[in-house]
Amino acid sequence: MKIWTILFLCMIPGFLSAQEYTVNGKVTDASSGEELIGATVFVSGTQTGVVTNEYGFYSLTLEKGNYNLIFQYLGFEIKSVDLVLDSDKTLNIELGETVDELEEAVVSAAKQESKVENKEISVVKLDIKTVKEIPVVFGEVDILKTISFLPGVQSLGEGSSGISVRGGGQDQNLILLDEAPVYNASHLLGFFSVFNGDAIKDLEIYKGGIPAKYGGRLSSLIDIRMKDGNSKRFAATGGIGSISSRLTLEGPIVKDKSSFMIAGRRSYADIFLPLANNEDIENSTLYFYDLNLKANYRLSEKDRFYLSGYFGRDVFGFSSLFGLSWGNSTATLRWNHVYGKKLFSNISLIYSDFDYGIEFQFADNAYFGSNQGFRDYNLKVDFANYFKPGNKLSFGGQFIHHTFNPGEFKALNDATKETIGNAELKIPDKQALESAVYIDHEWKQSSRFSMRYGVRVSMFNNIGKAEEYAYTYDEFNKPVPVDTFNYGNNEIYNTDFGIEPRLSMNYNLNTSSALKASYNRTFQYLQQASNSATTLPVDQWFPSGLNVEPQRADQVAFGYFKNIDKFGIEFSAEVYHKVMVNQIDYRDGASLFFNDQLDGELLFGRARSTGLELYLQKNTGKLTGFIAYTLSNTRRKIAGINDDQWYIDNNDRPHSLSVVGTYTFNKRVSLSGTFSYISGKPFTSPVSSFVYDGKRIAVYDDRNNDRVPAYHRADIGLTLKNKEKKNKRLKSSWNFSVYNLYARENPFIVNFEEVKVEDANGEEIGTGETQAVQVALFKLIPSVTWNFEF
Amino acid sequence: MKLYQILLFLAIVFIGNACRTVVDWELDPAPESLTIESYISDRSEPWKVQLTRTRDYFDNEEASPAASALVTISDDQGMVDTLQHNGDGEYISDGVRQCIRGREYTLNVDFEGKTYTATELCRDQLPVDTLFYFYQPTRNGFIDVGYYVFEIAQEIAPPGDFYQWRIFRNDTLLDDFGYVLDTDEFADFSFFNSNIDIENISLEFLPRPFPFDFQLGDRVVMEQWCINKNFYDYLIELTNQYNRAGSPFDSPPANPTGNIAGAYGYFAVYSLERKELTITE
Repeated sequence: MKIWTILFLCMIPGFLSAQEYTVNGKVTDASSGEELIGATVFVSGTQTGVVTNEYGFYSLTLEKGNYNLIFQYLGFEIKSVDLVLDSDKTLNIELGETVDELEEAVVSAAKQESKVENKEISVVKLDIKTVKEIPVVFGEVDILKTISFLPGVQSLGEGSSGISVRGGGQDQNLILLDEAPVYNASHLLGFFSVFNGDAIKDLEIYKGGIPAKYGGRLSSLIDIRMKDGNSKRFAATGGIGSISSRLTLEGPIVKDKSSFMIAGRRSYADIFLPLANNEDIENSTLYFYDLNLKANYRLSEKDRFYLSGYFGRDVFGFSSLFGLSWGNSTATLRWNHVYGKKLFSNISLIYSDFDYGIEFQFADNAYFGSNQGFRDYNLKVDFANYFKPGNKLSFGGQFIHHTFNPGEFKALNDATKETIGNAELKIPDKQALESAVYIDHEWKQSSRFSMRYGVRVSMFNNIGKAEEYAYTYDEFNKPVPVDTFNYGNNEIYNTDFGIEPRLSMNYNLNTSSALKASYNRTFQYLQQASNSATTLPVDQWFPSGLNVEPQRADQVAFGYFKNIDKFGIEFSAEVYHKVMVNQIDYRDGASLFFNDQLDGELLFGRARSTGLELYLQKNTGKLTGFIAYTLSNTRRKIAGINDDQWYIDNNDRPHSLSVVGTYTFNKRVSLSGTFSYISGKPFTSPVSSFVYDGKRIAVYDDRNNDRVPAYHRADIGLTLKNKEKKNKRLKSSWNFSVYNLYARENPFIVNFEEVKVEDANGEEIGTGETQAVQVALFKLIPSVTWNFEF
Repeated sequence: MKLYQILLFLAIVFIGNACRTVVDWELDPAPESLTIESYISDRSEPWKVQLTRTRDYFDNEEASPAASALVTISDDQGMVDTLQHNGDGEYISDGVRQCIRGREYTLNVDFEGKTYTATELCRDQLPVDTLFYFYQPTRNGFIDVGYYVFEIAQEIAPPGDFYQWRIFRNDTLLDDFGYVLDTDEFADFSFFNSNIDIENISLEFLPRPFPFDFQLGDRVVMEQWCINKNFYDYLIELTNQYNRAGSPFDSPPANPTGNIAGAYGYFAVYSLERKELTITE
């Protein structure tokens, strides 16, 4: 137990030193009262400082004396405060935005002393303002799409909100919205992500070096924080776009004590349906909506409560005969409390639910419905003690109760019940407990060397009531259950453990450059059953258990970071290597939907990914933006696929380049552009064909033996702010954007098919001839959005 | 599968105007293999086995037949029948044959130094009670106006069997919707219509018909094939592969799992129940 010794030694100075006092408080946005996450607080003329946590809280313990404290946050004015530290003090600081005064922003930003050591390896923080300026398809702000411009992060393609981080699967990303996991982050089958840009304050993506506080997914953490709501005054923002409209209202409930935020969005994709020229499609419905709600209440300087929720739904109806809907709901209740001056605590109660339902009405006495879903109850307890600047200890735990509903099918009216004798078909729910404790220590050894290390111990229990199977495989390699095991209510019948060490280190070469390294091990106990190119909402989540070992990943990364303050440029180069075991794939012809023996369809193996990521970012001046390049290699080896040999992973894209830039002409006009190039995605092409029952059927050999042509695209967006009238609070702007500027026909998929013609009855028949067809989704798409705030 | 078709529709809403371009594509080559296609049943008819060779995917010539094979079909009671080449890769028995329910049949093909075998059971099934029809006067979204034919099978064997139906209109096989397949696991609301009272059919309480509409005077023949589970799966996998539409919801490319090691295709054995009717007022 060496780690305990080290921790103990680190803590001693905190207990022994006399004549030390603590200053703590919150750093907030002066105009809205929003807490600023990741603002820096440092003692001028020294290397001593801290960064505000996810609630804007900081705590700094110094020897008795006179200090000058500098508070800064990118895009905000710098504040310098003289402090006579002769007792413990609370110092809440408000910073004002500098965006409106462009010239001033350039000057003050240049003065900002960016600290290369504060940059964490494999972590990218995105400012929501940047996200909103980047042009996107249909003009709909999309956080997940924007993240995919970053190095090491790849979109799974147009028409998908799924992302792959460093070769990982799309179900290996832990997406948290105010700490609540979001299990299905897409609307309209993946064309849009569920996050409304107006409701989001801040987001961070961890591709590696994931702190011990977080776990449960192998590849990444996407931590999204909602706005708290303006505590100063009532405000409204909104927009009318080509595919959806949105409105956000926020304001104080009790001034400076309590505020709320409510944000809603609804799409009107339905309007495109009449274009389909088909009566049934014209009579269909197709839309999504989502609501973000948040309220907070400050009971005292030391206690604050937050209640936040998300509710989103996609609805699709085909005539009156078929209906489909799915949605996420999350709710988070949090209590921040500061014990003494240095110990910050947060307790969260989280509810997260995803459900998916489908209805068919064949006739009045044949009205059926099915639903599937997933529900979590989650308790999180986190503590952080700020012993001294450069010495912070975080610890806590988490306990989640999962309920999986793999599917039920039932009659939806009495006439149907009468016909089928009230029969219900239900695959029994599965339940599991996921729990973890962690400890994490951030320690600055000297002005050059700092490290963060910790360990997370996770445990997963499958609990009854449950029926489980043991399988054997027949001559056709199809699963046959040979044994059935029944477990009683709340009986723990399977337990898995994971010990997950996490480490990241920083060594400053000088004040502007640093070397960094990280290692982390992660475990994942839940996965999504999907074997098509795109994950659908119907693709159910299922737990590890008797037949499924938990997934595990080990990743190391090394990085070089360099800041060139003179030009406001930050550069980083990282290499990583990741090994993932107990990876899941599916037997050929596997049936994944409504299958109570899903775990019999699985194949297991390993995957590995190696990459180099280069990132150059410019934060200040008239031209801002970044260039990202990734060189990577991802392979997979699954028992039962490709003769058990290594083969190219679905997420393997050797080259990926993105350029994102915004040029601000003046206070009112800015132009953004993006360019991206990504190697084509691997797929399986046929090697020959045979004829069966008069049909030409393709023959396949090795999986992913081919690759579609590379994907590249440029987008452009122009934002025009209307003149602000004096004494009027209304501000508005127009955003014009063009997606896929040079109308590149990017191959979405290449399909090999028999040429079909219509026969005399208008039915399609095969001709016996074959062809390769490339399908491209979005060519040039212009869009206009009008945004307002007052 | 139906669910995926609906999701496919959803995709079409977005992708419908997507751009499809025929492209030149170079494919990896593969060595030639044998394809075997054969269906035998308990109906009296000559047994046939079709042998062809695989060919390059973009080779649009006729599949070349495999003519020099030795083909036999035997059962588990010692019967062995040697089939003769009838031209174009078709091998045929000498006279009519008939499977016996409950027996296993084995196909053996010796071709170019390799032996291919497959064994299947001729499964038993119970007779169909009734074949009947109703008139659907308005389009209800799922089916058009017209006459619809359905069967009633009150007594079916214990669940766990797999079926394929072949429906003929005036001797023409209807296959607009691909294969009509079902299991008897949920006989109440499958094509078996076990719970339908034929005296009380109203438009509010429709049975599940076969998905084809008929007109007055049409002669309808229904063949109900009781097939093996693996053949049922084979037909579904084959359909999925054949219908790959280039949508993101396609199942991954894979060869359907046949029952002949080393060759493509299937040797299917089934039992048959047959009913017919003519649509009148």
